[in-house]
Amino acid sequence: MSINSIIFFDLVITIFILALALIIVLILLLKSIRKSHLYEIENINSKSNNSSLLDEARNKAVRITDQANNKALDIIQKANLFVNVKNDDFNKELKSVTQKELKAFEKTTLDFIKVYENVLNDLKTRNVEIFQNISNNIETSTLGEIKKFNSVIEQETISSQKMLAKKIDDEYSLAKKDIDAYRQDRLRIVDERIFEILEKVSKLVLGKAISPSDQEALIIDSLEKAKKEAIFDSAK
Amino acid sequence: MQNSILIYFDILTSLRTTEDLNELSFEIDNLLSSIFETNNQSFDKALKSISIDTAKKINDAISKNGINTANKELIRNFLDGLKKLLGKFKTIRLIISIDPSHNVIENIHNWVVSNLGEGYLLDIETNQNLLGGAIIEFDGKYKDFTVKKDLENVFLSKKITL
Repeated sequence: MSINSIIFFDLVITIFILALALIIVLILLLKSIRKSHLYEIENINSKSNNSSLLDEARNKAVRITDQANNKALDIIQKANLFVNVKNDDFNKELKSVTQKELKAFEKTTLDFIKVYENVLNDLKTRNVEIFQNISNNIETSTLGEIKKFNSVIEQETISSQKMLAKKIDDEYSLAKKDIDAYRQDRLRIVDERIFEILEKVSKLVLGKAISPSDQEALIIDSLEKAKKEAIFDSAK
Repeated sequence: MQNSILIYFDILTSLRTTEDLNELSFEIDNLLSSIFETNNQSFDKALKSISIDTAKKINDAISKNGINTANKELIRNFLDGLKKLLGKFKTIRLIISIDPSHNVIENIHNWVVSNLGEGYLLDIETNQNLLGGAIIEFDGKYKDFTVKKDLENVFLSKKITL
C-alpha cells in the first residue's frame, strides 16, 4: 500500500473522531441546558405565589432556552461548517488520492501489460517453436508412416495381383473346360441331330429314289465287297 | 439205293433261304410222323399232308433214284439222310433294306453259287433304315456295306475335318 493511501485513511479516521467528539459535546450541552431549565422551573414553582416572579422566571427560562437553542444552533452550524470543510478537504484529498492511485494503477497496468505482452510474446515464440518442432516431427513421422504404408500397399497390391492372376487363370481353366465340355456336348447333339435328319432325309429321298434293281445291285455289290475283304474265306 | 448226296441234289439245290430249309425240315418231320408214328400211312398218302411243291421234289428224287416207296425203311433212310444234309448248310446272313422278291433272292443266291459254290443258304432280314446295300454276317464275321454306313462314314470324316 502506498503512503498516499495511508494518509488518506488517517484523515478519514481523524474526521470521524472529531465528528464523534462534536456530537458528544452537543449531547452534554443539551443535557446541562435542560438541567438548568428544570432547576429554574423548580425555583419558579417554589415561588408559586408570586406570579410575577413566575413570569419573570418563565421569561428568563425562555430567554435561557432561546440562548441555549441559539448556541446549540451556532454550534451545530459550526459543526456543519467544519464537517463541510472537512468533507471538501476529504473530497479533494480523495480526488487527489484517487488520481494518484489511478495514475499508479495505470502505470502498474501498463507495466503489467508490458510484462504480460513480453510473457505472451515469449509464449508465442516458444509455442511457435514448439509447433514448428511438432510440425517437423509430425512431418517426419507422417512421411515415415506414408513410406511404410506405401510399402505395405505395394506389397499387398503385388500379392493381390498374383493371387488375382492365379485365380483368373484357375477360373479361366475351369471356364475353358466347361466351355469345351459344353461345346462337345452341343456338337454331339448337333451330330446326333444331323444323322437323325440325314436318316430321315435319306429314307425319304434315297429310299424312294433307289429302284428295286438298284437295290439288288447294291446287295450284290455288298457281297462282292465282302468277298474281296475275305469274309467268305473260311467257306472255301 | 444210291446213298449219295447226288440223290438229294435237286432238293438241296432248290433251297435258297433258311426259311426254305426250315419249311422243308418241318415237312420232313411231318412226313416221317405220318408214315411211322401217328397215322402209319403209306408214303403216297403221307405226301399229300405236305406242300405240293415239296412233295413233288421228294417224289421226283425217290423216283429218279428208284426207291421203293412201299419199303418204309428205305423211305425213312432217305428222309433221315435228307435231314442230316440239311444240317450241313452254311448260312450267310444278310440284312438288307428291302423286302426281297423271289427274283431278287434267286439272283443273290445265284451270285453265291457262282462265287462260293453250293451249300449256302441266305438268312435274310429286312431293315429299311439301312437305305441300301447289306450287312453281311458269315461264320462269326460281320461287315456293314450299307448306304447308311457309307453316309455315316462320310459325315464322320466331315466332322473330323471340321
